[in-house]
Parts: sequence; C-alpha cells; structure tokens
Amino acid sequence: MNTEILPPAPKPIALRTLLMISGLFWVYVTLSNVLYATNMSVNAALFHADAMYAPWQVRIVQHVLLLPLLLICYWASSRAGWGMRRGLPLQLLLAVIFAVLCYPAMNLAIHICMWYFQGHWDVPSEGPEPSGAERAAWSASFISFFLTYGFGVALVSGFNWYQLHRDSELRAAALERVWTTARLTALRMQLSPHTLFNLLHTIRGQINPEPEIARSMVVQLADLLRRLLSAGQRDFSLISEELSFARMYLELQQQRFGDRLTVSLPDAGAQPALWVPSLILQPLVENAVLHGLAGHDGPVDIRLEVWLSADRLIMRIVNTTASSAVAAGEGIGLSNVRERLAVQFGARASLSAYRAEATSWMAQITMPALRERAPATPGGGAS
Amino acid sequence: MKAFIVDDERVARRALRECCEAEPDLEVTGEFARAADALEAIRRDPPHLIFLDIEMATMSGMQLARALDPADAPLIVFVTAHDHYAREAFEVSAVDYLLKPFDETRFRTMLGRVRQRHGANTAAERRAAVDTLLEQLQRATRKAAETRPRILADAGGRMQMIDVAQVELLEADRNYVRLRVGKESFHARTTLRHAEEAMSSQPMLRISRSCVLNMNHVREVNRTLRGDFVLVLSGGTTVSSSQGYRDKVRMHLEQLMI
Repeated sequence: MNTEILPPAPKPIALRTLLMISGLFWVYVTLSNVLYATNMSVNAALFHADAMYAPWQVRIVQHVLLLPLLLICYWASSRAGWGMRRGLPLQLLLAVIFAVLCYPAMNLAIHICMWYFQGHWDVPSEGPEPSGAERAAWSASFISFFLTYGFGVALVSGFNWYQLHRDSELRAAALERVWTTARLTALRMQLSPHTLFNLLHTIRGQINPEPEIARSMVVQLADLLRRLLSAGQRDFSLISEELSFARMYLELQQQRFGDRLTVSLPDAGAQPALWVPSLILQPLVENAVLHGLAGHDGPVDIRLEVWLSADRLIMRIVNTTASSAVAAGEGIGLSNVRERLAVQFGARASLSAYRAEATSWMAQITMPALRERAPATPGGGAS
Repeated sequence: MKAFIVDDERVARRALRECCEAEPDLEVTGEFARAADALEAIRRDPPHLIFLDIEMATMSGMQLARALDPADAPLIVFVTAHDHYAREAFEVSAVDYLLKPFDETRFRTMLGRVRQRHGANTAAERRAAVDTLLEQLQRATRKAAETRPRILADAGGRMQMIDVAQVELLEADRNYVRLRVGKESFHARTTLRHAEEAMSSQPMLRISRSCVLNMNHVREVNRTLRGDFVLVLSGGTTVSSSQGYRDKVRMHLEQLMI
C-alpha cells in the first residue's frame, strides 16, 4: 500500500501556533502577577496579618469548598467549546463566575472554622477593618483564582484535545477497514455462485429441446453479468437501474421455476432520479427467491415496492413462504445489507426483516432519498 | 442486401451467418477473419452492410471503419462484447451496434433499424432514419453519464449525490474528504484514497499529500518564484502544489502541452 495515498497524518503543533499560545499565556500570567502584587503592596498595610495568613486547616476547608464549584465550571467549560461567537465568551464568563464566587467561599470557610475550632485557634479579632481592605482582598482573590482557573482549563482542554485527536485517528482507521471489507463482501454477495451454476445448468438442459430459449437465456445471463460488473465498480446506482437488475434476475429465475414463481415489480422507467447503494436490493431479492421456494411446493409470489415518504426512500420486498418455515438466524445477505447501510448512512438508514403474515415474509430498507446536486449554473461544469 | 461479416473468430462468424440466413432479404457475400482483407474486398466490391467485430488481433474494427470513405461507405453494424464502445461506434457513423452474445430477437430489432436506413429513399424516410440514429447516440451518451460514479456528500446535513465530472478538487480533512464543486464545498464521509478511486474516470492530478484536483477544471496555471505551481480552477478556487509534488506536477503539465 502506498503510504502517500493514505489520508495525511496529523502534524505536531506548528511553531508559530506554539509561540502565539505560550506568548499569550505568559502575558496573562505576568499581568495577573503584577496586578496581584500591586494590590497586595498597596493594601498590605491595611490587613490584619492573621486574615492574610490563615492556618492550614482553614486553607484545606477553603479548597475543599471550592472543589465542587471548580468541577462544575470545568465540566461546563469542556462542553462549551472554543467557538468565537459562543464558546469563547462562555469560557470567559465561567472563569469570572468561578473567580467571583471564590471570595465568599473563602469567607464561608473562615466562618465554619471559627465555629468548629472555637478555643483552639486564635480567631482574628472582629475589630473594625480599615475601609478599602475588603475591596483589596476581593480583587487579590479574584485575580489569583482567575489565574489558577485558567491554568486548569488549559490542562483540561489540552487533555481533551489529545483524547479527541487519538479517537479520531482510531475512527479513521476503523472507517477505512469497514469500507474495504463492506465493499469486498458486497462484491462477493451480489450473486451467489450457487445461483449462477443453477442457471447455467438450466440453460444446458434447454439446449437440445428448446435451443431458442437456451440462446435467449444466455443473452439474459450475459446482460445480468454485464450489469453486475458495472454496478460492482460503483458505489451508487439509480433506483431504476437497481429495479431493472432485479427484474432481469427474477425473469431468469422464472425460467427455472416458471410454473411456481410470479413476480411484480414497479416500472423502472417511471422512477424518480434517486440514488441507492449499488445492488443493495440484490441480496434481498435473492433471499426472497431462495426462502420463498424452500419448504413447500405451492406457488410463490414476490412483490417489490418502492416509494417515497417524507423524503425517505422505502424499498420493500414481500414473498410467500412456507407456513412451517422457521425463521433462521440472520443470513449473511441481510447482515451485509445492514452493514453497507450503516457504513454509508449511520442511523439514517435501516433494514427490517420479519414474518409479516403466516405465509409471507417482508424485508424493508428505509434510507434517505438521495438526489443529485442541482448544478448552480447549467454548463458551468467540465470544460 | 449484400452483407460482409468481419470477425476473427470462426464460431462467432457462424452464429452471425445463421442469423442472416434466416432473413430472406439478406445475403452474406463475404466472410473475413482479417480486417485488412475485408478492407480490400470492400474497396473492390462494396456490400450494402458490414457486420464488424471491434476487438480483432491485427486491425480493430474501429480502425477499419475509419479507413472507409464516409461518403459512400456501406452501412456498418459493430458487433462487440463490450458496451463501452457504444458512443464511439455511433461517432464513426455506424448505423447500429450489436452486443455479444445476442439472440434472434435482438438481431431482428437491429435489422429493423438497418432496413429503415437502407430503404430510406425519400427525404422524410432519410430524416426518420437519422432521427433513429441520433436517438440511439443520445441514449448511449445519457447512459455514459448515468453510469459515471457519484459520490455521496453532505451539504449542511443534507445528503446529496455528486457527479464526479463536476468535482474540481478533493482535499483530505480529518475523517472526511472535502469536495470542491464550483463555489460550493461538500464533505464526504470517506477516505481520500477511496474518493480518488471513484474519480478514476476523470483526469486527476495530486498536487500535495492531501489534495487531488480534476484537470478538466483547471483554468489557469501560474508559477511562484520558488517554482511551486498555482492553479486556478473553474469555480475560482486557487490551489498550489506542495514542494514534494512540484516535479510530478511539472511533468504532468509538460505532457499536456505536447
């Protein structure tokens, strides 16, 4: 495998980006530090030494009290994203909320401690504080916690991005693998070798008694194989193509079981220009014939219907079954269809297959109605 | 009608002869295994109709048809196992086209159109015959466009099918491939390699590790002082080749200029 044609591996952070981010962060740290120091030095004289340097018990209680607040803010931050219009202002708001709430939380911790450690701790006197001390303490606390919060956010988002990046790498690899295998099984499952050899045997049997029918069966089989090959090279086909393929297949099968098999299909020419995954119906049609004929010798009716409902395309195939037939586990054909739908449409498409009545089985594909992009300017395409 | 059969395979000639023998107005006056012999015989004594195989060892049926003077060439029916020659066949003024294998029904349908053309003596009849031919050519062209691969892409949450002939540029973008179509941009949930595979009917050129463009949409090529190529696409998008692909792009463009 040529490594050049694989999707490019993500590069390490560009030097310019690194310089910009760290530069900005350092400006932030410096400014906060300067502001903090200025506040402290200007107002230090106004503080009681006790209020500034609370003992370790109080500091622990303070931080424990702040932890839930911090977690709530980081949780919100990790979900807010970093979009210019909504994310960034929201992040800023969260940081401000945290920094603002820190001061009352600290005071609350001091009061709790005063109540709990009564007698053991030399409580700072409740004497009249000089005016301005409260404001200075608040702004110092705000700036200091704003800084700390920013640090934490950087760590959290950094780790978050690392994880996202690692996950996306894994997803890309998984997607590539699923694509390849789904395509391979799709190619393999389009027409079972069993069916092909049975058809060849039917033709062989017709050569002597009815050479003309044998000749036209060879031509029909050639048409079928031609379409099979061309559809196998494409991921999507028009619904009309898909229906004519099903018709060809069913007409050939009717040559084998003419007296038992009746089929009804919508007119391929009257279908809207909608696209479906190539040969997505084929495993269902093949199943309908196989399971329809098995287990009894009565007539089998196979009915294919296609319609649009609220911009979703629904393709349904109903066949007669033997009433005694036990629904076996999901065959390889059905799971292949399911997998291809999942790879291409995720949750927007589904396949359901079940016994509709005592003697009929139904399989139904629901998928988005895929239309061709309407060209903006006619003739503005290829030169 | 006098008819020639040109096919290098004996059994194939016999199948065609049997079909012709069932028709009272058709007489096979020559069978050839080599196109060169057939060409000589046609020039000496032109038949009304030639059944011409396309894939032959020494000289292809297409070459033989081109060697004939279109003014008074016989009616040509190409007989081939490949359906992708249809457009080309009608472009070298073939009257019809027969896919191998064929049965009596298809042979007769084809012959009906040939008779219409052969027996067209009045202006109205000739006009009708040309219309039939045009309709066949249109059908072949439409079919070629319909069978061209489409890429499933997302445009603001809505899934759409995009004809590969309209895609100007493929760019790898994390888990997606971005398709540039005119001034619009779409996301396809696939890999660059897979998308490039789907684009194989278009002349694609890789200009960097993550970027492949459709040469049909290149409107302008410029070079920077460093030697990188700057290409302007029909939708107005400008892309430049990366250093690693500079030489490959240059070689490709030089080939185009010759």
